[in-house]
Amino acid sequence: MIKNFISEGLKNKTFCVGFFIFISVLFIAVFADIIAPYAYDEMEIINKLTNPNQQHLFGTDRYGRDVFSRVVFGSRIALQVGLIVVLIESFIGISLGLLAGYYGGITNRIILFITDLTWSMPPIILALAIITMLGPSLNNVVISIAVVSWAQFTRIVRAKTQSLKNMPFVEAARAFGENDFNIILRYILPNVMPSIIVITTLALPSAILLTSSLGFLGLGAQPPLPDWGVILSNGIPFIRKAPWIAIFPGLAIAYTVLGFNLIGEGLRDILDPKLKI
Amino acid sequence: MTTEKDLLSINNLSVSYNTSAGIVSAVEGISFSIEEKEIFALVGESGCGKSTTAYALMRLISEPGEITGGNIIFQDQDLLSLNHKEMFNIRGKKISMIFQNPLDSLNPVLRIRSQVSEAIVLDKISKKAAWKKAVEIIKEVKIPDADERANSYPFELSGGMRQRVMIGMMISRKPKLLIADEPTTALDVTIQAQILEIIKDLKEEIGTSILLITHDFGIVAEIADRIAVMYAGKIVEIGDVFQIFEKPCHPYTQLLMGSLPRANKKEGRLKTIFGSVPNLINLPKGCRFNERCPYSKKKCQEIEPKMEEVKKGHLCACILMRK
Repeated sequence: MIKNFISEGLKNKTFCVGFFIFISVLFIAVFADIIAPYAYDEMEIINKLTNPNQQHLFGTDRYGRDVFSRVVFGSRIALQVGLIVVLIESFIGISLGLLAGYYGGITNRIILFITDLTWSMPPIILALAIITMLGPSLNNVVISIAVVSWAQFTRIVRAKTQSLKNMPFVEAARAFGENDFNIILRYILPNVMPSIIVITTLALPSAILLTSSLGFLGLGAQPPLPDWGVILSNGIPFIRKAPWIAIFPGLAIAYTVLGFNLIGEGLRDILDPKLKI
Repeated sequence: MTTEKDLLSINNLSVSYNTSAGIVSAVEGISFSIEEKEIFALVGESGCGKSTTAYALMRLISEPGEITGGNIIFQDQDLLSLNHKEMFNIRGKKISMIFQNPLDSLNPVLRIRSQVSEAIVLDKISKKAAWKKAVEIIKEVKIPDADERANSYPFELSGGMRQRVMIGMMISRKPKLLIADEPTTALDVTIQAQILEIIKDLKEEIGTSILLITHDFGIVAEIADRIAVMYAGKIVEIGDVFQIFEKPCHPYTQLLMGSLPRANKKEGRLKTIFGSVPNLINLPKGCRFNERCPYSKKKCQEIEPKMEEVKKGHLCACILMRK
């Protein structure tokens, strides 16, 4: 099974490229201390707004901070926030989806109502509203993004559960006396897993994007934390004089998000046998 | 009808489905009883309510279906009065069920072994013991290479093997009653024979009663003790195998028997029964079979026949047989 998966993965180019990108970002995040030549908040006022050169690969910003080091450290924030957000939202989303799909009836209606409610609002606006309520900080970013985006898990898990709960093997499990909890956990959840994996890999980049957007708007990570969105917004006033400040964090965001999206896409092809002809 | 030996007796059971087109009464007022150590066959064509009866027995009828009347007495307990939790103690432990489609009845993501031990763990034995016992069970249902097969996934097994694993799981807890809902439908004849052999052994060794649901008179003749013939949600005839095979009384039963292929007769084309099962929403008046019955008289369209005794233990619902 696992052997199969690896060989399938190697065959799938989309997945390979995405995986390579993911590994490179992960590597940078883990070894940020070694890779970055300066600390992310080290200022050299004399060298402010210098062009990219040998000392400062990506140039410096208006306080003379090394943009390269800041982008490198930014990968940590992006990955951490992304992973924590996805953990929280998938937990909420999957549990609600399983409950709604399995029990149906009134449980289903209530959960579906809440899901539709969160789904109907543009995520960034809802996140903004929550942040203004809680106050801008990285922790609150995590909470707000989880609150806006769990619904995608619920919808898909619910739909899958509904079709699975009438499968003969679930009926058979009921017939030999399994209780509902066991049926959900041992019979339904593992069969929904492929879809969950795919949504997770697609939810991660959108979480990273949202974090950066909130950072850009000044509501996420607070300076001097080197969130990519924050660095980018710091660069905006100097976009003519020193475009590198905004360009490099932007590229970093694009690179990471692209990587995860490719992984998601590749996984979908690998895990869904119906797409294979 | 209820005697002391009865393991299960169903009285006036009705099940209906509330659909947008109207109320479908899939099963209407059926009564029968199963004795201990008996193989009782429920026969009838597709859509006549056989499987619905089985699901009702397990209380597994799901929306929009509903049990609308009657009672099911199992070991002096009315199953319909039990709550959700009490039913968990009945299912699997006392009444088990084998399903029509062995190909989909096993969880595709669990290995055979963990699947089987899953069923045994419910008996409150340790996981380790269950793990060991699982292989024994797989051996018991005569699967070759049991040790190796135990570590396979369901898709690696043939239909017959899967059905045997299923049976193994269902009998591992030694139920008093096993419901076999067309256990051999998707299997070829040789496997069919093996499965029937296992079911027979089961009755002899553990003393389980079996409710066999099928449309195949061949199987019935081979292993059943008593038969009930169902038509459009009602039982039209009950009797033991000899009574029914020698002297079928209801015209429907007669026609069913007539449409069996026979090896010893040269008949050319197989006989068929004219028409098809009536719409369960819009049932004909009087006898439900009157539109297809070759002997149909005018009074058949007026009077709804009741079950009446032809001989001891042989009941039949047809007004014409009185003479």
